Amino acid sequence: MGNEDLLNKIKKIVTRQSFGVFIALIAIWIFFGVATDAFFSFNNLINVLRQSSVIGIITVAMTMLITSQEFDLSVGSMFALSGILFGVLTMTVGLNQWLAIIITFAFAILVGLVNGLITLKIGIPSFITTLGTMMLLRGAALVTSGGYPISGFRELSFINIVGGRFLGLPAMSIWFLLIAFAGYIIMNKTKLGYKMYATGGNTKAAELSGINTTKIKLIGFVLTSVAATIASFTSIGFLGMVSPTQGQGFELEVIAASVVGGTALFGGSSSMIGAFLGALIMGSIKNGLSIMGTSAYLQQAFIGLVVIVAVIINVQFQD
Amino acid sequence: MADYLLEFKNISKVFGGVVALDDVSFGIEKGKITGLVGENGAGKSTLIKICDGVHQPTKGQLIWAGEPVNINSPAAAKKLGISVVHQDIPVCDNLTVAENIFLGPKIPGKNIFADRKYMEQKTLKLFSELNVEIDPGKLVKRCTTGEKQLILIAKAMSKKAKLILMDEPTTALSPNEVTILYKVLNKLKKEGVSIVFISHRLEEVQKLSDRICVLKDGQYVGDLTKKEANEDIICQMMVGRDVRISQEYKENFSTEEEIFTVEGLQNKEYGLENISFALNKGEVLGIFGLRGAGRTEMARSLIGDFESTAAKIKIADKTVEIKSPKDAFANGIGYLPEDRDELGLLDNMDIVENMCISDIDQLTNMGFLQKRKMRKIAEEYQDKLDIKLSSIYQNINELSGGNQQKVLLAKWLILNPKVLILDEPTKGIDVGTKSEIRKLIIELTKNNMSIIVISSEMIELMSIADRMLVMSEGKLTADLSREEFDEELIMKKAVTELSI
Repeated sequence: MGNEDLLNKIKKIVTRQSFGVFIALIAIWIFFGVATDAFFSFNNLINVLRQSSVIGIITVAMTMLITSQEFDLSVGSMFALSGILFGVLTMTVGLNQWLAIIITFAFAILVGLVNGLITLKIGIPSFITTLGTMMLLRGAALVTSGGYPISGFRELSFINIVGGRFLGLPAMSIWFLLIAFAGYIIMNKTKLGYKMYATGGNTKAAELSGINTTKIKLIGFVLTSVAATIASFTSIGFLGMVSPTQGQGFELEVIAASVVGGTALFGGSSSMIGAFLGALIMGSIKNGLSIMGTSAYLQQAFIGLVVIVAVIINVQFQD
Repeated sequence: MADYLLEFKNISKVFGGVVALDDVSFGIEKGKITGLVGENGAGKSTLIKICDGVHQPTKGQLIWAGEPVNINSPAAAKKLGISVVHQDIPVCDNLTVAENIFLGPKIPGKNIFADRKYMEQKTLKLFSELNVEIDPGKLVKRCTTGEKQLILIAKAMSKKAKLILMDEPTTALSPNEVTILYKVLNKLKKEGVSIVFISHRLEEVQKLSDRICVLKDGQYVGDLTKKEANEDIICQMMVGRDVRISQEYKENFSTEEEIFTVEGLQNKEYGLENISFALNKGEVLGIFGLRGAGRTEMARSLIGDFESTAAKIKIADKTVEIKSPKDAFANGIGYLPEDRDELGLLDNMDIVENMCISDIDQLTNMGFLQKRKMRKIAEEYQDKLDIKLSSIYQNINELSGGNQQKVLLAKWLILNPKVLILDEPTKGIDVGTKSEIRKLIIELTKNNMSIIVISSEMIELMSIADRMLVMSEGKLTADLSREEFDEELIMKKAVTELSI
């Protein structure tokens, strides 16, 4: 009897969506641990967490959006534009930094609403809508900044929230951990998460149950845009500057992290723990390869390979 | 005057020119079980969707407990206390049993949090009232269809609904589950809940219902009390028509020669049992059955699209093996599917391409399309079938349903099959084209083609078929010659297997 219980417990853990990605992460760590001396040092593992943070913060929200059956390709551009907007407001216009933060978040909410309303009210697939806004927002970032990076943020006091270190961890990592935890709670414990799963699982059934699926998806779009903005602030906190070209290709890295973590591309199924581990995989590869001294060009190819292998491993563990 | 909970006052519903409901007025009595019967397309499902707020009536007024109401969304219907158990069993496969039951605008739990423990306990309690055993924490994708149906019924109960409407709740249930459902319904009735029960199983409707209401062609025919009802009267009300076009004269080109015989077709998954029949050369063989009788499943099993077992199929005198639609076509069997949009049309391609696709290998030269040859063929069939179009290079999606159907028919005629299976060939097309297609079917048999027509439109079948098979619950229940055609008899045979 005790044996059977144990077996059942093991089976439950192994068939969880996040187990396969966990194995994949361990495999990658072992690989880098063997290939380099420096990978398994405490300081470097903290670096891994930091390098996963920006992608990770956006991945949390994107996982929620994909769960409810929509996509957002504009997150990479939004990651640049919100930082640029904040920079222009504080540095060029000279606005109070807290007011500028509020305006930037209001703008993020607006972008999320625009993405969502065009998709849901006009009926254009979110893939197309956000492909359009991706280019639109990138252009806006380049135009408003004149193509130049903005720096000088270290003089602002808000940098203390998004930069520096707390408890030995970089601030952006703390934000990542907090947001991932919040994402876990939302998806597993709240009514909103419940409704997102239902919407993505069977939109018609959810609607017939009296769920306003349009509203649920709209919330997902807004959260994703807001997450890209938070990620942008933490990046400013770490680097002290913002570039209008930053975040190119992030949208695909974020979706890859989410999918590696077990999110079904057509909605209804996802795991926040898996998404967290998926983001860690992205960070681990970038970190490990740069320690190994491989060229930056190789990173892209390696990430692509890992995405495919990780998803294959993940599928094996699901029944 | 009866005590009505919900009353329909002159309700009409028009979908893009098609009248689904035509001035329907009647009421649903409080605390009673009302049976609702009618042929396919009589408007039962539309009426239910109006109660549920999925559709809004084009004309007319709903009266709820004496007050006029507008039900403009499923959420509004739930607020009033109306719960619907839909026919196509909409559930979220990715959620657990308990999560499905409590899915709605108001989810149990404090503030923003969902209380899953409470839901599971409540679900256990609901199930124990229903006397069924399903693990509340089980994922719904691991449930049987019957269990899913019970989940939806439990869901309706959990809402403390005043009115529960059920659209064919028993089609997917095992006899054991059906017994459970009967008990549940009678229990709910005792507690004062009003129930509307739609079913093709007339015996079941009679047994359960206090009153039976009949719809026909979108109109309300009348009602019967439990005492008045018997199968003959109900069938008569369901099909009773003014004109008997079946009596019209029809040329018969069938011969004695058997061209296509099927012996012992089985398909467990779709409930097909021991189907055997023979089709004569030049014959129009009608197959009639109500929705869910397994007509389309049988046809698609015949052409090897669905896997079936133990079927011995002979073409002329030769036994053939049909494992895929390709084998079927190679042996001269053509199949025009019921679902034009999903299975028939090549979307956004032109008429020539749609017609020639079936014979495309013959129309290419070293891999290049022979456009001139294709055009000629398309023009020939456009002329033959009198397809109304502005150009043969027109996008197929721009044609009317009737003309689209003609294009698809042409696609098969180009191949000149020995046997042509037509699945609901006149579904959703206008009356004029319907009659043209009927004429065409007879015309084809004149040229020695043998045709099977599957339809749920009895009158139409009666007018064109030389012989008719009736299907019910995956079995053939009658083989009638043209002299034996009789609407009430056919309807009776179509519902015979449905009693339990």
